[in-house]
Amino acid sequence: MDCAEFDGQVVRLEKFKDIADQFVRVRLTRIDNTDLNLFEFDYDLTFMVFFMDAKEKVYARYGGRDSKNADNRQSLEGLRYTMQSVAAMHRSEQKQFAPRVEGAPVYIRQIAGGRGKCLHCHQVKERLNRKITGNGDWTRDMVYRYPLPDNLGIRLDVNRGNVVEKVTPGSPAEKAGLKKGDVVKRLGNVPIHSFGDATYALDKAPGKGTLSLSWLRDTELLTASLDLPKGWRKTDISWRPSLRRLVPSSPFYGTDLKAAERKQLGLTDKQLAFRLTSRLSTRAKQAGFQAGDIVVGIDDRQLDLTATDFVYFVQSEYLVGDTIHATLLREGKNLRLPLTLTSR
Amino acid sequence: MRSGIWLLTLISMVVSTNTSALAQNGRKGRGSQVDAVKNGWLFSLAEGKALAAKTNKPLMVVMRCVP
Repeated sequence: MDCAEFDGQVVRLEKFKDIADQFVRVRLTRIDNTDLNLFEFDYDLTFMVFFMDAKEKVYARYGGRDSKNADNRQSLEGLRYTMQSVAAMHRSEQKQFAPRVEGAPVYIRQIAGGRGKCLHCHQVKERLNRKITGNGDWTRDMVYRYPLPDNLGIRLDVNRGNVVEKVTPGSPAEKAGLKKGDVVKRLGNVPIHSFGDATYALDKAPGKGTLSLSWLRDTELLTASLDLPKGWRKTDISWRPSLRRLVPSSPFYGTDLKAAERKQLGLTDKQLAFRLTSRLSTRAKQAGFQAGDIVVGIDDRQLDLTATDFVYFVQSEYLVGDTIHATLLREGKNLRLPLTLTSR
Repeated sequence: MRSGIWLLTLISMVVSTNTSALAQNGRKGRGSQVDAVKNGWLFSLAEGKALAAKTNKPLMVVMRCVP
């Protein structure tokens, strides 16, 4: 199923017809006519649901994706779960809202110029990024907007948006005490009903430091601080249309070494070890790479990857302009060669 | 020359009719205007907010980027 098909199911109220009338349903399809202060979301997405009251106070968001595919993090069951959670919050005496930029409506043409013509959502992000770059405020962390909760060790259940499906051993989430089955209630100052809320909360979190976290275990409300280690925001950006120019191409391709040859060279069965083909790019040749060289590591890291995985690894770990250092075997000798990455 | 202009006009009419039909009905399985109207979706936030205030219901606003 693709994102458009999911949207079609939502339009037809599939799997939530019985609770749909608890909401006033609005469908907007033009980002250029949309108040960006109110509808603040990951503009690389083409689908996002906002839940709010009549005074534009936002309860929750639903939507989001990862690099695997567009629907990996959303489901009709998950949307239904979030709707139920929001309906309960709307009835509650103690309503909790997500923070939002207050003030008069702001439209993309006011922020970044251009005529009020029809735009793709990602073009809004491109214009905003150009504006930031033009002001000299661009930092590398800004590439990694709306980071995944998985980066901190939290895997949320796709069908029950704020329920923890898995906690990564050794992660900041595990160190904070979070466990499978816990219900995340708040990240920083954002109430959590869904994966979309979690990525929104993490987008507001600092590049390094801590973030408050509260969750429900049975009936007990627990709180802790999540450590945000340096580089925690880093997420695969290869799916993002607005950042295509920053996704590097693999500098070279090759064929994996066979088991016998690995054994002979003292390499494990799984570690990166591929022989460069004669189809080397000009820049790789200029950097000193030769057909027949065996790549066994990048930036002094020994990686368990195949030659095909290596292509995706470069795209997800580095940006255009980064210089990598490849560790090579050539005629029984070790070499370390630098190469600056360029775009696809 | 004249027949060429007529042919171009005819082609553009067919293309625009098909595009319009697609926009109204959508591709199979996808969200369409017809389905949206049938299932009670509004297309104006102001209208939605007014109805939400009147009925004391929360708003569910789908932002679907379809340029």
